[in-house]
Amino acid sequence: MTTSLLPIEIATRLKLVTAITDRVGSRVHYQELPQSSTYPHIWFTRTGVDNEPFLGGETGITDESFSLEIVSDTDESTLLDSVIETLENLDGNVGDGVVFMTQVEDQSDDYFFESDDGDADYRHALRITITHDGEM
Amino acid sequence: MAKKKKLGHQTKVLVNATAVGFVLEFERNEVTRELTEVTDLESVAVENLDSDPPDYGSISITCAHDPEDTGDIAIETFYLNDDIDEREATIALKVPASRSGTAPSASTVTYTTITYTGRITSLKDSTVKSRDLLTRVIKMKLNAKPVKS
Repeated sequence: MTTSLLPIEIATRLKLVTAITDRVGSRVHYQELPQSSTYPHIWFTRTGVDNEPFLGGETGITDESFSLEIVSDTDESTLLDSVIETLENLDGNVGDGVVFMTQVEDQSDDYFFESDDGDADYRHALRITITHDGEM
Repeated sequence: MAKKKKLGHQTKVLVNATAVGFVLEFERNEVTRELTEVTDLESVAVENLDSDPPDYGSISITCAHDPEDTGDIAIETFYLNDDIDEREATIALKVPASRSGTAPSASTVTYTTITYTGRITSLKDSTVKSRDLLTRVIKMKLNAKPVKS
């Protein structure tokens, strides 16, 4: 489990949005997918961290990448739009650090879904890159 | 025999005795001497002699730059001072010399300090781009041999 504060921040921000909780309730899962979870759900995981330290050893600007899946039995275009808008506005102070920007893009067509059981009628995956100052 | 394998990691930089954080790179100087050709009729090859004194070249520091940072402002104020006597600058480079301590404790670093004196010749701020760190390059022409301590 990562010590980064960003997974908690992502889940917290998503759960503050009515348009999102109306559809998924509290089913915003990080890394683990509870067996009892039902559709629709949001599942995400951290896929990478990239930073180059400064000469003196200080942590450099850090890019943290996440993969986020929305899985459902019905069309969730509205939920998707809310998730994208919420995450694109993720910036500012988080813990002791500062998030400079968040980029949200679609995953490529050959992306392998991890949080669906193969029967879902609607699946959408996002690639999220959060750029911060490395202090959180 | 002294160990020769060193990384730049944990090198510290001071400008006018004030530590500069978030340095990306430190370009060190090249020492050169002018060559004068002294080939004569009895030479079997072109001959040159190197002259005195040597030119100690220039150094440059590339570091993160924040327009509101007091340290960055201090360097600007220093460089833009109208009084020529107030603009002789000192830049110190502290290179890790040795490390002591045993894991899991973090190591303690002792440094060799190289002190450069000269004239700052330029402050160049980086192009502003969405995903790039704001940086500044400070260049200094050396007026004396660097001192090691």
